[in-house]
Amino acid sequence: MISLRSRSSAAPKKQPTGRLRVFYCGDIHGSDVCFRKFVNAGAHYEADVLVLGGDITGKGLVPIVRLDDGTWRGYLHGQPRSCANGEELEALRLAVSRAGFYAVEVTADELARLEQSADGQSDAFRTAMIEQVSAWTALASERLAGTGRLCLVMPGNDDEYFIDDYLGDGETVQNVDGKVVELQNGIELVSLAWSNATPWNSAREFSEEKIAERLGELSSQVERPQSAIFNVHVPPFASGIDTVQKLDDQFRPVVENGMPVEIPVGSTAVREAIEHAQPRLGLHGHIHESKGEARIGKTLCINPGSDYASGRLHGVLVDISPERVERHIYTEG
Amino acid sequence: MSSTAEPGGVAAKAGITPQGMFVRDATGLVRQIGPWHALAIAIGSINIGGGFIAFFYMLGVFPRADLPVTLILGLIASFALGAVYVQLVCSLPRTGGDYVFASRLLHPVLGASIGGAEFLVFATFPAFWAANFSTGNFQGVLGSLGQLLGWHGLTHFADVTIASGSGKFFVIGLILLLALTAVVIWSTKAGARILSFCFVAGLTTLVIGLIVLLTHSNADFVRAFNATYKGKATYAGVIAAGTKAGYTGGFSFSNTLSALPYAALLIWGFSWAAYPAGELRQVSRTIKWSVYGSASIAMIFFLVTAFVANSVLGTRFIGSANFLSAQHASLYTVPAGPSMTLYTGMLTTSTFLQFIINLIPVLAEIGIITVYLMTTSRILFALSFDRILPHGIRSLSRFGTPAVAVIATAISIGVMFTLAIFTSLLTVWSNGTLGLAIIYVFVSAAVVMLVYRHREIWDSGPKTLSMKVAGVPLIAIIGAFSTAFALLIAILAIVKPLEIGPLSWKSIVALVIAFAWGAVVYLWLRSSYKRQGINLNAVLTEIPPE
Repeated sequence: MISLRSRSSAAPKKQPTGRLRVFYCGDIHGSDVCFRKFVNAGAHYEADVLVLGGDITGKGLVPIVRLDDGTWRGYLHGQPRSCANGEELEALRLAVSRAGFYAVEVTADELARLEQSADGQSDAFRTAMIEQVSAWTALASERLAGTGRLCLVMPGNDDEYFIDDYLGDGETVQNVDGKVVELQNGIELVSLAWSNATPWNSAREFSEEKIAERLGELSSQVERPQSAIFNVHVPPFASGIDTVQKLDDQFRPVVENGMPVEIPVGSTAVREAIEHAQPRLGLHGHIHESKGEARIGKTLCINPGSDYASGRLHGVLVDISPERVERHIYTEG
Repeated sequence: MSSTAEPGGVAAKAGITPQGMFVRDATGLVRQIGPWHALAIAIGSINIGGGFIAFFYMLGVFPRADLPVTLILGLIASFALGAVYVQLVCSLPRTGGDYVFASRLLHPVLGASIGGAEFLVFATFPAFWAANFSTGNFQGVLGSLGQLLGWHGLTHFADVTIASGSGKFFVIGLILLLALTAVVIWSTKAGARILSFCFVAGLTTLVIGLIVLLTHSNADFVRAFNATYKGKATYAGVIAAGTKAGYTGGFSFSNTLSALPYAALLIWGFSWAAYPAGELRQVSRTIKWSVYGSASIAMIFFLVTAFVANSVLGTRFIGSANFLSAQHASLYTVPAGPSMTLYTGMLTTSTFLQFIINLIPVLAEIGIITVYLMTTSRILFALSFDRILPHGIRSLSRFGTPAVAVIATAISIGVMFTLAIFTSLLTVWSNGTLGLAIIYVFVSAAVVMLVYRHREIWDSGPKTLSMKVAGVPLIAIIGAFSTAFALLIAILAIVKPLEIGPLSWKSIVALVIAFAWGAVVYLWLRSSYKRQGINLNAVLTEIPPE
């Protein structure tokens, strides 16, 4: 499905100091405002490299229905929204987009047909995703061109494969999934979008064996693992940054003795790869509610969490040199 | 419905959701604290049992206030603050509460100042209740348990052995604090269970206490009061002394209105579930349930208590007793201050009911100390996450709890408790109410800023009150009203400090230190980060999306 790609160099043109400043975030799930903030984070935080660690596309499609009287009606956050004119309609579209959903304008008949057709919804999702990812790539290319800042993006387990063709322009914005990219001072970035199994059967889930095999292939290309960064969407198993509430078959929280049961759901293969390679830094996402950091041997693993639906971009700013992680600070822009 | 995603296809689910959208197969966000525990946190913070004990304190300042009317109007005013918190938590569902709201919506320095102040000011409240526990309420419940079980040795131990001596009081309070700290460090679940127990058992004991009151008449109370203080004070004597001191009885509209902020103070704490907001499950629903539910439960109890107090104890009596106790102590000959638990206990000779009534303050004290250990530690946690406090504070124990933050919180409570037991220095912190009012001024103002200065956040999140009045979002109007109301309480805490806490130059200095230290640390850190090429202000402010 994804072929092992060759090593590439992506050294930023601007290197103001000996250290490299990386801004990392993930799991923006279709939030237009979060992506715009991500693109602007470079200037805001004076970062050299921007990394978007997967789960880029949205999960919800919000139909906005044109009524017979010429007005529009839709729902956002479960609340009805009416639009009397084009201006209000545009405002609703914007609010839907900011919340991480895709707005689709339909008539009542089209909505009825859409409700009955999984294929119809699938097509609508596909169209919306491609439109948005294409627009984002264009936006990032336009804003970052000539700034000397690198913009490295990759999909996550929730992102369908077809978006890969629209993710990145190959120059200013690069899709680094399945690649080893050299940044500066010999620091290499290893990226992998896959996750282990989840209850949701998302697009890029693989067995632990497959993940181990894939990470092994990528790790073998790294020349200096001790100074490398592992940009792996799923966090390592039982690291404290992979904790979720246990769910039953109906996705309901499992409660025992009146309290929710918490379990680790990270990848054992990722943990073993980190334990073996001991990179300088691990950047992870996937588990929105498990923001934090963990030490696995010499490796500092960070999950900045996500709260994309509120429009706030959770991230982490890391100053790194080949010798050490000099400092890191969480951001909430 | 497709259950397996294939390359090139989206696994969409047929049918529209109740939220009015189509969804596809993708991972979901799950959070931890549900409505029940959020409600228990809020109820524990309101400290209904503590309010029951000190129920009349507003009458000490405004003896002619009409209690039920004051309580109802106070509730309405407090609901404005509740609405502010509900909206802020929905828009910024992050652990840290007021620190997060102020730093993100007003200014990072203000956020650090408020976070730092809360760490110190909040420590005084559980310390006060720990002191009450160790200097009387623990002995009361132990003594009545001895009576109930016929264990006279236990009663003697409570009434004689540990009934006096600062050293003994210190040990009792310290043991309680250490035990609760150990539980909260060991397991958040266990801490939440203690809260749930105190919530259920506390409300049960309060209901029993009210039933005891409701099943007696004013004549029963007069007889019981006179018998209890035989030779020292009489019911009629208290009223006569009140008249002599200038209390004429009856209700006054100005007193009723003036006492409003004091009524609001009775239920403050209903917003405490905002502190672990990042851990709330179904944030919007949970915080609404917690804030409005706890405020309503508390107010129902207090309203019933007010009606019962007026009818059973007598309006003139409670007005006189509180007026004398607060403003003319030399004329107040009753050995103990006015207290609902005290008066309720007089009405029964049943050892079982005496034990239950003695449990009311103890359960409230255990609950409130647990709440503060669990919530104040979250503020430290958030400050540490933002690097304003050392990184180590956010480290987790092997049990997955923020052990260092909990220990730091316990130490701050322990220091305040020690001051309370061995010195009178805790009184310099007695303007904690003023501190809390100042914090609420900024938090209420923050919601107005959310609407007008942070449109991205306002537009992206759920709107708990989407209505507009004359083109102005209702929540902005409510925020402005809540700001004014909190400001009124702050002013009252300064000009009418009686019962809220003496205002002195020492207490003002203490408050300035409380609010200053966080800001000083922030400014020092900002300077330090600047030398390393990081703009801390930028890290804590919103990235412009355009």
